[in-house]
Parts: sequence; structure tokens; C-alpha cells
Amino acid sequence: MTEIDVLLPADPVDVAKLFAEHHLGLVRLALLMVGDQATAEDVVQEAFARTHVGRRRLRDPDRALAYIRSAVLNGCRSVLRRRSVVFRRAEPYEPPIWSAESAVMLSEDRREVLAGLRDLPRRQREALVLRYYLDLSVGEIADAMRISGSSVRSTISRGLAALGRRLGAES
Amino acid sequence: MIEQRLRDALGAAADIDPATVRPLRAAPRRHRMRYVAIPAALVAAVAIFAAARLLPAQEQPMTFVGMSAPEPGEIRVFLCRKPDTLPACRHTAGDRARIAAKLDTFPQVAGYRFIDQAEAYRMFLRYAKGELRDVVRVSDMPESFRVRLKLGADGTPVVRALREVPGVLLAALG
Repeated sequence: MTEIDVLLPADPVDVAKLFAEHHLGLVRLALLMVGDQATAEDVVQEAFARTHVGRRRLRDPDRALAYIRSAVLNGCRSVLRRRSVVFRRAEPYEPPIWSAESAVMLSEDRREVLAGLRDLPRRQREALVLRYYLDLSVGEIADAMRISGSSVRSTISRGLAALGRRLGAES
Repeated sequence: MIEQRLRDALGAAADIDPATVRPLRAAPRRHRMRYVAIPAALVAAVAIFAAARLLPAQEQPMTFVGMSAPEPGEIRVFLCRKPDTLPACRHTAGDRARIAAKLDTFPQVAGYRFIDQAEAYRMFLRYAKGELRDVVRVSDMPESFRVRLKLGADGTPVVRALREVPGVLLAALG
């Protein structure tokens, strides 16, 4: 450790390490939310950039990953909000992973599940993706979505029920 | 059952090739407009400074881009800004009162009016066009006095004297 290392306070959050370990996973999470890889990458980059800038202000550095996840979700919501405004009076936006080109890569069953998921309310969709794609615990989902643990449980339960109804109706 | 189908579908949909993910890029600059406004303010200040220095000794009437047309028999006194971009021009807290007190000593002066940044900006908006309206902000505008001279009075000695008062960026006949 050099003299400068001793004099300068260490960064409370190692953003570079978080980036190396979680960047790809978060891009995939954002991809599931917004539907196209380029937008997902932008959202995740913005989340990491914000975390890097505000890393010294984080009250609990151990929760930096939860903060980034939350920022990614917020970024995805902003993207979807902007799209809904732009396309409100135009043709519905069809993101690439739901599109016909991508559909050939997915089986019929998977496409049905994803279409059903896409039609769920925003909060249910987010909770299901965090639970069944990232395998996060209820507490981690609560942190990322900034809602209580009991809300997470009830949201997941309602989301699964709604998805089951949609899939049942389709099949 | 539904959970398993969901896991399977999500895993397949999110299956992107890591090699296709772009590396982290330099973040876009935030507050872009602020960076644009600073050169605009600098340009405005330099323009006023240059005008003051390049004015002929006889203090000919002048106008500024983006400012309302001057009235005949009027002197405009621009105050140093806080903070100012020109090292030669130092703003201090008492500038306004000091300049007003100085104006009171001239027998040629019939009256004067102080124009703050907000009013200067409103005048600016009346005359400015295009991108200039977007980059210049209220805080970029200089404060000034508009001095009305008595009928037939010679404003040249007033202008010369005002230029020596600390806190005056520019004094010129309108």
C-alpha cells in the first residue's frame, strides 16, 4: 500500500468488480424488459454510470448491486414509458425479441409464455422476471423494486395466476 | 409447472451472445446546455469588453447584438458580472450603490434606471433570434444602468468618468 493509498479514502464501492460480475446478467435482465439488446445495453450502462458517480454517497455500500438493479429497472420503465407515448397513436411497438425474426429461435410454447408475460401489469412482469430469471430472493426483489417483501410475494402470486390464466385460455 | 415454463422461456429469450455486448462507452456529458451557455456568456462578455476598448475616443453611439435600440441622449453603464470572465473587471458587493452615487454627482444627468439581469434577459429575448435564445440564460446577462441626459448636455465626460469607477465593465453613449 503506497502513501497515497493510505491518505486517500478507499472507494466504498468497487464498481469495476460489480461491472465485471453482473454486467452481462443485467443486460439480459434489461433485454427481457425492453425487448432489444441495444436499448438494454444503454440502460445498464446508464445505471452503472450513475452508480459510479454516486458511489461515495451510497449509505450502504453492500447494497450497491441492489441499487444498480433498481436503476436498471427504473431505466427500463423510462424506456417503456417513452415508447408508450411515442407509439400511443401509431402502430404498437414490436421489440426485436418478440418479433417474427426472433420467434423462429423460440419454440411456440416459449413465445406464448413471453407474450403472456408481456401483457401483465408492469409490476407483476418485473417481479416475475427478477424471481424466475435472476432467481433473486424475496428480499432482493424488494430491494430492487423498492417495495415491501409482502408486496413482492403477493405480486408474484398474482402474476403467476394471471399468466396461468392467459396461457390456459390460449391453449 | 407454470414457473418452470417461465424459467425456460426467460432463459431462452435472454440468451444473447456475450461477444455481441458492446463494451462500456464513455458516458454522454450531462448538462450539455450548461457547457454551451458558458462560451456564450464568455463571448458576450468579450464582445462588451472589446467594444469598450475599441470605442473611439469620442465615445460614439453604439448598439449591442440582442439588446434593445438605445435612445438618443442616453448612456448605458454595464456592471461587472459575478463571477466575471474578465480578470480586469472585478465585481464587488457595493458596485451598484457606488455607481448610483457617482451618477448623482453629474449635473448632465437627468435621471437613471437600474436594469437587473431578469429585465435585461426579457429585452434580450425581444431581439435575439435562433440558437442564441437557447444558449443564453438570465445569469449570463449583465446588470446595467440606463442614464438619461439633460437636453443638450454633453455625455462624453460622464462616460469617461464612469469608466474609471470600480465595478463598471463598460460605459457608452446610447
